[in-house]
Formats: sequence, C-alpha cells, structure tokens
Amino acid sequence: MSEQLQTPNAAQITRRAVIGGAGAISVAALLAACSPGGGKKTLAAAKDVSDTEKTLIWDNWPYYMDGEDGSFPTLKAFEKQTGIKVTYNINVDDNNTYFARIKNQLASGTDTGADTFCLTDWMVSRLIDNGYVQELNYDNMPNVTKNLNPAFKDTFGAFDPGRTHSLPWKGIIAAVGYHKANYKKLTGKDAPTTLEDLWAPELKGRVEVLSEMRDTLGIMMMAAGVDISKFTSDDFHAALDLFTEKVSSGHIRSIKGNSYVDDYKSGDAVAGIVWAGDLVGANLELGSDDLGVVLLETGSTFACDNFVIPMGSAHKKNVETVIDYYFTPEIAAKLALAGVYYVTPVMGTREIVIKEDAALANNELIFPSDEIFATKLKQFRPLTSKEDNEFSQAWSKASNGVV
Amino acid sequence: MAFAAFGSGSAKEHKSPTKSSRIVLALLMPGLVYLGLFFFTPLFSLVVTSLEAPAASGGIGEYEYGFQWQNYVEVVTTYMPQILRSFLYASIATIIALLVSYPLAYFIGVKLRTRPMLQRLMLVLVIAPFFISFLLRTIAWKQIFSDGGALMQFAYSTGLMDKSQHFLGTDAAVIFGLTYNFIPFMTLPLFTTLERFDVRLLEAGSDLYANPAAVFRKITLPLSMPGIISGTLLVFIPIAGDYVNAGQNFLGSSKTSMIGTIVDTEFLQTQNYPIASALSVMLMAVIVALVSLYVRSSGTEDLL
Repeated sequence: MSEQLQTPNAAQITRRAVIGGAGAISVAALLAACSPGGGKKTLAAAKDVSDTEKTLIWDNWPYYMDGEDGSFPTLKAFEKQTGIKVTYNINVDDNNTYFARIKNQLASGTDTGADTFCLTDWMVSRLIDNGYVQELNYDNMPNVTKNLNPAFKDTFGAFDPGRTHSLPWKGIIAAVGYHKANYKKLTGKDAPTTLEDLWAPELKGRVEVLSEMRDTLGIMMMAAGVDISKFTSDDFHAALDLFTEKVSSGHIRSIKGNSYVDDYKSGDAVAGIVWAGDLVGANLELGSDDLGVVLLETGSTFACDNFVIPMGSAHKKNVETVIDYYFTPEIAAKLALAGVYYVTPVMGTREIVIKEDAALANNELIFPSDEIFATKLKQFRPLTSKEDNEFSQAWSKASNGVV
Repeated sequence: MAFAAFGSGSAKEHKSPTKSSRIVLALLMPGLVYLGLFFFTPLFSLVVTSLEAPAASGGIGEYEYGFQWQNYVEVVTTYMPQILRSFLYASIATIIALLVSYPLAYFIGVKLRTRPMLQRLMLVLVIAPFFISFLLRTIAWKQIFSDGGALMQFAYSTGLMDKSQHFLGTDAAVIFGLTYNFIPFMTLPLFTTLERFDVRLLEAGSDLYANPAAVFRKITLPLSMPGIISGTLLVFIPIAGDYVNAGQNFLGSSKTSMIGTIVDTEFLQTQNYPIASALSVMLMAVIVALVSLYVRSSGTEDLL
C-alpha cells in the first residue's frame, strides 16, 4: 500500500505498458488462432517485477496445504518472513480441465491468472516441450539445491533433465487399497498380494479403480510384467483390453478420481487401485485402521505434481522464493504433521517428523525408503502427443462403457 | 412455436401506422442483442467446432477447421447405445414424473382450494428441496442406496436382493435420480393449470350421467393439457441432456452413460471438441424434432 503511494508514476507507467503489451499480444494471439496449422513460435518470458511487486498467485490441488480452511499457517509465516503476499487458490482438480481453462493464455505467453501452479509430470512435460514455462534460477533457491531428493531429480524428473523448468511439490503413490474387514469377509484372505487378487469372483462389483489412466493401466501393465518406463502400444492395449473386460462384466464397479474413499467407508468398494495418501490420510483422520494399502511386488506407479512458472508470470523471483521456503525440512515437516500425507521431495523431513510422530515417520507410504524408491516405484513413460491423444480417447471410451 | 410467433410479429407490425415502431424496436434491442450474443454466436461456434478435424500435430485438444462432416457419422455409429439410452431414460423418467405429479398437483390445486394455508404449505414442500444444491441431494441419495446403507442391508438380510447385486449404478438408480431431481418442474406447471380449473364443469359432467372416469377423460384431462405439455417439455428436455445423475461419481456406472456424460468427458477429459460439439448439435436437433412432433401431434399449439 505505502509503496504504491510513494511511487504513483512508476505504477501508472507499468500499468499502461502492461495494457499496451497485453493488447499487442492478444491481437497476435487472435491472428495466431485464425491462422491455419498452428505453427509453434518461441515465447518470451514476461518481465520480472518481483522486486517492486511483492505478490504471487499460486494455484494448487486440494489437500496439499496446512490449514485449508483458509488459515494456512506456513503460508502466513512465509508472508511475515519475506513480505511477499501469497494468494493461494485451491482450484486445480484435474490436469486436463485446468489446462483447458488456460491453454490460450499459455500458448500466447500472456498472464494465465496464476504465477505458478502444480500439475502432474506428464502435463508438465507437455508444457515444457511446448515452451510454455520459464526456466528456473537456482541462485534464488539454495534450499532446493541442498535438499531436493535425487530420486525426484533424476529418476522421476527424467522429463525435465536437471529440473531446469519444474520442481516437485508432492509425490503420489498409486497402489492397491482395500477395506480390511470387508475384504476378509468376502474373500477369507487378509490382504490382496497380487493384482490378480482383485479379480477374484467374490469381489465382483466391489472393485473401484482410478480414473487416472496412467495409474490404473500403469499398475495393470506392471502386473503383467511390463516395464512402464518403456512400454509399447501393444502392452498398453493388452492392459486396456483386460480393463474393458472387467468393466463390461461389471467386475469393476466404477472408475473415479475423487470421492472414492467414501465408497470404501460405505461398503460400495472393498478393494481397488487407489492413491496411497488418500487411504492413509482417511485412517489417520478417523483414528482407525480400517483401510489398508499394499505396494504390490510387481510395482506401483509414482507421479509428482510439479511447480511451473508460465511465461506470462511477472513474479518469477517471488515464486522461486516460495518454492525455496517449502524446500526447508522444517516447513515440509510441518505440512506432513498437519495432515498432508503425500510424499515430500525434501530430504531431512523424516528426521524432524520422527521426533514428533514416529508412526507417521515410519509409514513407508508417506516416507518411502530409498529402497522402495529404487525397486517398487516406477514412472509412466512420457507419451508423444499422438499417443497421448489416442490412448486417452481409448481410455475414456472404455471408462464410459463405449465399445 | 416460439420462433414462429417471433417471426410473424416483427415483419407485419412494421407496417402498422403507429409511431411506436421505433420504440418497440428499441425495447426489443436488448433482448435481440442478448439472443444474438449468447445464443446464436455460441451456436454458430458450436456448429463450426463440430466440423473441425484433428490438427496435423495430432496433439490433445488440437483441431482445425476442415468441414469434417464425418464427425457426425462417427458420433452416431460410436455412441448409438448412449444416445438411445438417454432418450429411453428421459421418456421413462418423464412418464413416472407425470404419474406422480398429476395426483399431487390435482390435490394441491383443486382439493385444497378451500384451505389456502394448507395449499401454500404443500407448495412450499414441493419447492423446498430446491433450496439445497442439486449435487448435494444426489450425493445424499448415493449414500442412502450404498451397499452398506440401511436400505440395501435390509434388502440383503431379507433376501430381496442377492449379496452380489447392487442398486447403485443400475438403470433403475439413474432413472430414480432423474425423476426425483426433475419432479418439481412437472408438478408446478400442472398446478398452475389445475389451480384455474373450473370445478363446476365436473358437476355438470356428472349431472349429464358421465361416470367419474368419463368425467376425467373428457373434462379434466383435456383442460389440463397445457400443464401436461409444458411439464413434460420442462422435464424431458433437461433430462435428455443431463450429465450428473448418470455419472460414476453419482448414481451411475459405466453401464449407464448418457449423452451428457459422454459430452462431459469428451470436452473436459480427452478435449475432443469436435466430437463433443457434434454430439451436442445432434442432441439439440433430435430434441427440437421430437418436441415439434410432440406439440403438433398433441394438437395443442394454440394451448401453449
């Protein structure tokens, strides 16, 4: 406020320049939209005004921040510490729908309404390939250099060599989940140990899988012995055929991306493919031990939601400051202790958490060991845009029962 | 119907000797601009999109104009079961809604005339569910019908249903949800028609030796036709395009997908805009055709 009052001229000039610039860009965007073919052009990053405008807007998925009722303790502490005002919006609920909303701005390099947002590996890979996002400056992020888990940089960051354009926020393990009591009642067994166990006739109509193609089919392909970091179209279709068969026979009851945890509580679902953090979180929240998660011998998919800074953002340094802040182990530990049960890429977090909550720190689905990272968790290989298009359409048809 | 009235009005009245034509035009302007901006422009854009072809790059959501009329062929051949299912669900749900609403509307509009307080209370009860979000109400039904819920547990324990059977995700569950969610749209128009119904005609009918069934068939039913027509239209049209009830997060399963569900995934998930648009245009065309056929065959154009 006071800063703006002191420099009214600077503010006016900036605004006029911005409006003029935006006008020129939108005319260009209009022409680009009309021109056939859609040939790619190189976008330029917006001028960084972080030093004068201490603000940033961050869009993220739900359940990813402490105090989501709006109190945001760690963000408040960050604002106090740095003087950067953060607008944190919980408005990402699907990679495709979020992308669809801002794709024109991304393609023209104009302001998308957010200075940073966290999207999943494959979507981030597409954004980087298209040249839609800015290169990061590690000079502003000493904590990242120090604390970024190498697994997140090398193995799970292969789509962005050296992590020059993206940084992981949280990792998500997809695995087999089940309701302990109901599973025992129906099958007589304690826990599923292979994917084959989900197809037991007793479980017909009580299996639910994730609507995220890469997780559901990834786990199915791994169970079939396929290395998902280099599968072929045939591998994919073999898994899809099995999936289609299970859907049309009614064995798989539904394919969901949210609210499926409720189905385990209501009894509609007994076993299926889930995001580990969701079930672990539900257990810890209810103080019960009803739900179980199994990392199959054949492997689980692992994906990250990653920070990126779109070309249109004028607050890159502010974003880098906030990323750096969340890469301090103390802050990452605060998130885990506050109930954000997804895998943190910040080394040293577990050592802090263990002092306060040993059960949490020893849960291998929240703090996987290096061995689990190396042997059990795999990333779905990046798809070419043609494959992506073909596979997603085949997947959505199968999910909707279109044969 | 509405279009016809609109067309004849503007052409003929222009020549009328009154000086007010300019004022009439001025008064019509906001409406016309609104219609042009928010109906014809999007409609045009929708039709253009439905004729697009995949771009050479072949990426997700990348399409360019190509007069690809084959999109319509693809839509019809691929999604025929879903299209037929949508209209089947819509027909069944509309008929059930009519059967439930008619006695209710008759009771409120005719029988309760002498007790205005009770009549108003009943009307409030019909509208009351609207104060709660449509989505929340549907999710509540999902909880009630879940396998672990009281209803299903009762059905399982009494042997009415086998343990391997479910109610959620079946045709019946989706039709139930559709009927439930749209019933007030049937009850209210029926009520407004029956409220003005002259009961002395019933007495006249029975004075002329007609039995109650004949009185209903020859007097009550024909006079309540405007309510029935507008009620069925208000229910049938939105149900045919509904994308909530049949969705897998609500009462449906992969076996109950309707046109709306497909448009939803094609638009938002796979970003196959041409196919989603072609489906929407087709849905619209079929509904307009069905509705005009319905209105004409029931001979009630003058009643609307």
